[in-house]
Amino acid sequence: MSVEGRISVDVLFHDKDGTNAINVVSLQNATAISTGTVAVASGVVGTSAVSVLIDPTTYRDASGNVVSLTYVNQIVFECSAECTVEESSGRAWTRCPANGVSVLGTEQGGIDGFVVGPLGSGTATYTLVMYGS
Amino acid sequence: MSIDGRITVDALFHDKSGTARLKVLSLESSNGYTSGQVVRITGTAGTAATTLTFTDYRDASGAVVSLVNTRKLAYSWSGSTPRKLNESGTTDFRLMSKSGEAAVTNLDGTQPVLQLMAHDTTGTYTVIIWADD
Repeated sequence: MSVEGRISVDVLFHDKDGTNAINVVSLQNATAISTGTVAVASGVVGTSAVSVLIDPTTYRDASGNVVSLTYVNQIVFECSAECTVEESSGRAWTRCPANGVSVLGTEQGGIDGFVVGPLGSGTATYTLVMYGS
Repeated sequence: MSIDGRITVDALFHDKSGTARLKVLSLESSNGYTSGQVVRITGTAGTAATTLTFTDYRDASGAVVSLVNTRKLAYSWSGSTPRKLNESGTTDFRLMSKSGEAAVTNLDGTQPVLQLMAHDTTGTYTVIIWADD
């Protein structure tokens, strides 16, 4: 089963006073994806961290086949309360806001999954989209 | 000097084979900002580890921008293999980027100490930080 998709990030700020010396800072990237493999893991994280494996994942594609990943290029993560998500190796990790989305590149090889950790004392629902091959 | 801005993330994937069992995965977040402070740090980095400083960033009025309650950070690296941006003060995050792909993370409110880790190639980097103070 092949996939098609995109990961786009658009960050733009500008000074809103004055007209002659306005500063604009921006960081924009749109990656179109026409090859590779994608999987999603979702669940609830409480006071203990949750491990998400990439080989195999629990995700099934449209054909009903379990999806496995050897390499992960990027992840996109969403959570209902502030959480962290990191490579199981600990080499890359990001903090995601409540009801927000974080994007993270990875070291690509040599990982077997990700760890979702809570920052507060309650529970949070999370969705982790992993793109790789 | 006041600011206006946005941070938007849009990820969407779909299986491209078949028509009857097409699966779609998507995560999207768009936040608007009408207050706070923002800085940009950009430049060329060699292969050695590099500490990034943003104490000399100036807004459109020429005033030095200083951040207190940092909340969001976006990072991109131009090289074709992932380069890590470390927060070396409190290890608040460890971000990876390659080929201009943007990584976005939350911050814990402290002023981060940013370090590009040693790498095998040179390239350009961009970091944007937003603080809510």
